[in-house]
Amino acid sequence: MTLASVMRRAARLLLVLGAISIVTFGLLAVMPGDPALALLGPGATDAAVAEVRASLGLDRPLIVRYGDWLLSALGGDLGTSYQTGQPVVTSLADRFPLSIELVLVSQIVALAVAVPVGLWSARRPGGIVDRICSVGGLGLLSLPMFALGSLLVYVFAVTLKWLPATGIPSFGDDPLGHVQGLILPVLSLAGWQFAMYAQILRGEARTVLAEDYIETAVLKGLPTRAILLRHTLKPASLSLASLVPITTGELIGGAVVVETLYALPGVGRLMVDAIAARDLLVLQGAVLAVAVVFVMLNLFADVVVRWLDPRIRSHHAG
Amino acid sequence: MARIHRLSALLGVLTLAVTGCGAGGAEPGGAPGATGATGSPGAAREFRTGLDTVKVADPVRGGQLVYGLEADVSAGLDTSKWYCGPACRTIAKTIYDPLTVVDSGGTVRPYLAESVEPNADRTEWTIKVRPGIRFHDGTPLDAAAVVTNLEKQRTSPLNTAALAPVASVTADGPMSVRVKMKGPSSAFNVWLSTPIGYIMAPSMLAAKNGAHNPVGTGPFRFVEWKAADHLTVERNAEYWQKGLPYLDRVVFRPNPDVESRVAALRAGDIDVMHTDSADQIAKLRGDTSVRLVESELFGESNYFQLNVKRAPMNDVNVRRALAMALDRDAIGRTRNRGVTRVANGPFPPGTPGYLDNTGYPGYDPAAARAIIEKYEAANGPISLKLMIPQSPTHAKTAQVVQQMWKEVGVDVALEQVEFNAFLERDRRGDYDMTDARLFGGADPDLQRRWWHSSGASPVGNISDPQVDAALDVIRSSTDPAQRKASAEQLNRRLGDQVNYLWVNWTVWAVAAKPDVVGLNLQIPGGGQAGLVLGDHWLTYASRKR
Repeated sequence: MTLASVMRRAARLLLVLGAISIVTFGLLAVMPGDPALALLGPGATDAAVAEVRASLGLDRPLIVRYGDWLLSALGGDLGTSYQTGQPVVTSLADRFPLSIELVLVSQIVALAVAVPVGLWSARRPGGIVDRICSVGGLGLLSLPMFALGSLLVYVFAVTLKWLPATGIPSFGDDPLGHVQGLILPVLSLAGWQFAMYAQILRGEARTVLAEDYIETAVLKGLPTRAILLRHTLKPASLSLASLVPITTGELIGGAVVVETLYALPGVGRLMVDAIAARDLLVLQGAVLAVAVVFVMLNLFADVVVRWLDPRIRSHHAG
Repeated sequence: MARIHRLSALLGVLTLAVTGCGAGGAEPGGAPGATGATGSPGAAREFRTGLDTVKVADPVRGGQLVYGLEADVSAGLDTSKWYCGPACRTIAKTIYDPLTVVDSGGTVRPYLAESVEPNADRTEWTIKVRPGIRFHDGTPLDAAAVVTNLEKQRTSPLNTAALAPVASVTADGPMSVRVKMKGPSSAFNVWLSTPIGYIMAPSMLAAKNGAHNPVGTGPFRFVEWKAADHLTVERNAEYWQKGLPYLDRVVFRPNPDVESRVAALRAGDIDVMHTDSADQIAKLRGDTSVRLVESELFGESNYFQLNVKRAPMNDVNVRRALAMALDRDAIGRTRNRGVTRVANGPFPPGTPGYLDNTGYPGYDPAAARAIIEKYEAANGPISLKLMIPQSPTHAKTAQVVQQMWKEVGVDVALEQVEFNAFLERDRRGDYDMTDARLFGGADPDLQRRWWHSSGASPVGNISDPQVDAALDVIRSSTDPAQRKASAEQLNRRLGDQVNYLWVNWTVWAVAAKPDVVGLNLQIPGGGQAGLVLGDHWLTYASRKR
């Protein structure tokens, strides 16, 4: 990509983020509920609610609050949590790494299983791998994430007691415990991804396998391995490659469910807790951070697709 | 069931006597006496008998406990700053000691205070501070520290209603505090068992981030808090109750989902948890791998709140009809799986004001239908909305009562509202009916702010001279018999006026791994407004060898 196009994209990113910040701020302002009630509990008096709202700066007009927030946000300060009194940036820095780890590991696991399974199913349509894969895949696709998660907990944590049902120690404190704690959440997240990837790759690979050049390769006596990995995977993975960054965004949504189910301190749970407590600036910051990740992923997807498909590359260059 | 509880307690005592499990628990001077019992060894269930200090059979020093809680303490542990709910109180009472505690008989006893005594007409209270105690930061506990705490509580927006009767708090000597009231206030010592009476170190109250670095005199000292992950406390070796606590460390882990918490207990990730979910309690009762302790002592009432300022709920006959339509035995049996008992008022059994019969209308669908038909003939059809917090538990119960009301001719639509929004609309009075849990506690004075017309909290939605008069006697009278009579009068008035549709008493349960002993003590809950009234069972908990 040229420098100019990078600049253009960066400018567009800023515009998108600006728009998101306005929409989020507005939506949060009209959301029913009150941060003061979360802090004061049931039975708060009118005077107490007014006093706390004033101390949080919530008695000022919306536009002033937004302007204040925007000014400090441009300086890298996303405000302070009403609940903890911590800077929002600190909370995000604390909570994002685990969510990113969850999402990345889930993608890797899903792809690592889906690629061989998808290719093999395409190679032998109607074969045993294909049949197990389509039935199992359909099951995984139709199973909501929380249901799969609860099932995994029941089997592997409650019944077999192999893995923890909730929580995760930090890698530094307990590396093995960390990996063990990651397994069930990752499987819950990856199940759906795997099924989708395998189905898509199977479809694409079957189209590719029907091409003349594959027949040529077979006639030349190339080994199956080489045909599948070298000549089928790259062209067949085009739609997969453009899909992965987008589903990564979806996985961030899934992380909200999984982090709640497994009681993990990630950014998804931060958002859920912030909604319950009407911790508006935390929510605003988290939404913005997720938006940045999402936009970057889409950018990344563009780059990958160009690399995989020379036609798109040359078209744009021309 | 209360009788069964007592009986189990007796059996427990006998078991202890027979098996020769001696008493090893400490009994501090002036603190609650030890009359309870642990269950027989290996028993899957135990019934708790009260808040009295239970002597732990053969306690073991050392070990740690992982406690799964329903919420994180994001807003910190400064009880003078923000509301301290059950999860917060469970942690707070390991770090702080309350000035007083309430035993299972409802008697207020000094705890961190050596004594809390009123003058003859209850217009002044004197708190003598227990000598020789130091906060975790090494500073001494004295009158000045207690004054700092009470002043901080008094000026906090959190307590404007609760501490309104206090005129001044002053040190009256190095170890004595005088609290002057604006008028007679006979239950001030009960309030000191609530988070208002948890004593924090003045250094913590002065620090900018004190709420997240709590310092008290309690059995455990704060170590660290990691948001949404854990909060750790460790044994205070210099604790004023010598020999206590037994555990080295308690790790609190927040996990909002109760099913996930039960799974965590069964999988062994956590050692102990508590819940008020009847569904989960029923499930845990059948689990022999879990030790379960239940209590409804001082428990809250579950009820439907009627907006008496709106038609048709402003008509007492309609309110009675709505009450008579509810088959509360059936709700308890089916929805709550037989865990809970039918409630008939705001005062639970064993507290002043409780009555077997409050005059609250019983189940009578035919009479209810007649009233509704008469009202509808004159005023047109009744169509109501029941506002409930978003949760499967609330929704399931609401569907059951919706059907019961339909059978007497009242159409009720369900409206599920996210919890914070629910609180806001509840406060504004923007509802027909809501599903709620409140009241309970050891003394009726604790409930004054919900009902007194001068009270600033609009949740109760009551303005009734008879109720006000009863509450005034409860606050000012020095005669326990007179206070009790007034509480009963208040209970009857609420039963007659049907401002609330009582459903059941809340049952709280603590579930733990079988090797956790000393469980049958304090249970979170015990009334809304954060009233953990007794001392904390974690002080006495230990793990079997």
